[in-house]
Amino acid sequence: MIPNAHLETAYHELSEEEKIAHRAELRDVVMKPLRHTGWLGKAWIGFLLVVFLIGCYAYYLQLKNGLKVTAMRDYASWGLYISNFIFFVAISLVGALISSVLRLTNFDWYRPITRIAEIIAVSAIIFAGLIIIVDMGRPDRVLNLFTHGRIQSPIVWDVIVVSTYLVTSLLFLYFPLLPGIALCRDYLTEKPKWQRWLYKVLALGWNGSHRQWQIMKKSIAIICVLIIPLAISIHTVTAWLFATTLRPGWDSTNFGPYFVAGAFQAGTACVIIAMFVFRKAYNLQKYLTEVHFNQMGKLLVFLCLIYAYFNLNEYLVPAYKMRGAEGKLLNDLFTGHYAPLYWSVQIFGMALPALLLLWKKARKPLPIAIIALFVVVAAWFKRYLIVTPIMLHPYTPIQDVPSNWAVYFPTWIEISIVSASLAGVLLIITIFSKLFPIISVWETLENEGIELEELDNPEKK
Amino acid sequence: MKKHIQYLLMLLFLQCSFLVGFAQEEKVATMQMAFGEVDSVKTCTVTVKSDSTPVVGTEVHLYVKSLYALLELGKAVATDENGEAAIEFPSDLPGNGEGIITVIAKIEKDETYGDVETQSNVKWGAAPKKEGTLWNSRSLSASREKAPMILVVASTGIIVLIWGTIFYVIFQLFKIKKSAKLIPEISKENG
Repeated sequence: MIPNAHLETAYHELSEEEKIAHRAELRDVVMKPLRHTGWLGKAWIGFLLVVFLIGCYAYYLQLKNGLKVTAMRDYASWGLYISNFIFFVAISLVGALISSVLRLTNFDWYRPITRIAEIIAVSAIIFAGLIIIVDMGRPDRVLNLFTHGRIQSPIVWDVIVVSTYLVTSLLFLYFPLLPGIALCRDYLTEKPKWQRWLYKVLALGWNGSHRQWQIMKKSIAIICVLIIPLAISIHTVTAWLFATTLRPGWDSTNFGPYFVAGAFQAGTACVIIAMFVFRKAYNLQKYLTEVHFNQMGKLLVFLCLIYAYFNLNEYLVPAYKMRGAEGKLLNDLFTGHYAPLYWSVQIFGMALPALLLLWKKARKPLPIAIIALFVVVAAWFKRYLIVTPIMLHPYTPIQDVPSNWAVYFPTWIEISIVSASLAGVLLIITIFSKLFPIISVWETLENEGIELEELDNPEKK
Repeated sequence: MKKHIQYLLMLLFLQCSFLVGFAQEEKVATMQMAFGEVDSVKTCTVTVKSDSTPVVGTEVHLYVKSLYALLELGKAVATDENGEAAIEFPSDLPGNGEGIITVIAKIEKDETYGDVETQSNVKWGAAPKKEGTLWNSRSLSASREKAPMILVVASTGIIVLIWGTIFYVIFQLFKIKKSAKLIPEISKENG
């Protein structure tokens, strides 16, 4: 176990009074951002709302005029929306990685960042589902997927697995949050009536009894096991949407693990950025310590290397053969139209981060946050490269279509809607962090050896 | 100024007279298609006439209409002294659901006749091969009702198992709420 930097005394040396005092200190720190929002926070929420509303207007235009307002035509029938969908599904996997894989493999240092990872997962998967509906020409027929879907279709598999993962992620966020909601219910008494009512309903009458702790921990353990195959399934099935389609670049048995590896890498980078922002904005330096950034940096190096391995498989093997349409596509990526973007993504999003983060100085909060930002931006463009160039390089050229349909550049409508979805994810995370503690108090205390359950129920010790 | 306009008008007149003269040179040709079968060899004969006179030595292209474009049948054949071009028709071309094929005969960019085209339907489509169609059998490409049994059983099993666990976990939330009623307000120092 890696102790937090501020804890100079070992747990067994702390008296009951000291433990209670330490808990009170942590409680005050995590509750502070919930009590007050500064002008910067309000400006940030306002900015996100404006971007989101512009996207809503763009979607209204798309609904009114149809998908012709996008740049998608016969060639690029999947464009920016689907790229964005894969990106959201990718980063949603981080909830499973941080909260479940690290938990089941007996790591402890991750515990103060579990909630950040979980809210990123939930908000990303919500918008992954929404962006798919945006991509539909007739969104009013979305229910037909459930009533008329063929179980043989990978699209139906994706619908099933996305909705299942969303529900499981919500539960994974909710269960460990129960003591935190109860804390808000008991201490944020100055809040408006609706907010107090919300806390009261969501807290489910939590009073910290031994029985409640027992049920909660058992449920978390079940979800921990359940969410790993689900997380792997959701991104493997997303990869199969492509791999089961006969197109150069997608016709690969490597696609499932390639997507999962990329997802863990992108999601971890997202958590690092969120950790950095929350640490600065909410003064959580004491709890999101340099130790956490150091560990996350090492994890990111490991994930970059795994992703690099899958990239080698994905590009080097077909490049050795340079067969027909696949060769044309790879030439376009390596030396052609998409070469600047392709090499930027591979170098700045994978090779350089893996190299730089080997140095401990690069794993300090600010440098690692900058590196993680590069990884996330590159991850987004990587998804664009997985979708668009391949759509434009079919095995058989489509006949009798205008020549400009063979190129794709998104319209302002598509860019606005995708920007709105990104703003929406950030908005959910921001509003969540203004309503509930962004650090799990009981998990952070447990990481430091203080069992909250024991403090609540001294007779059960 | 007047001279300038006169000059322009003269140019316009010359241009028009050239165009009219050129147009007068292009003659009108008509095409007729006939379909015949001798010893199971199918032949499409195109007769080209201009003012009831057979057109000799003009190349005729034969196409069939496909989903997106036209499929050319062999090479172009020149008309004989009777104005006829006979083109052998393949016997394995699929037609629509009723076996009908739309055949198009074309004279393309001919110096005398320009572009001439005619089309006709013939019921020469080969019967679709049934053995390659998996739609009606239990396969991945089948209809919803014909999904492979192993896939239906496996997917239903997984969905029931996963959602059963999810509902069990949701049920735990009710148990937490219920237990709160049994032991109210033990501690306010949660977190």
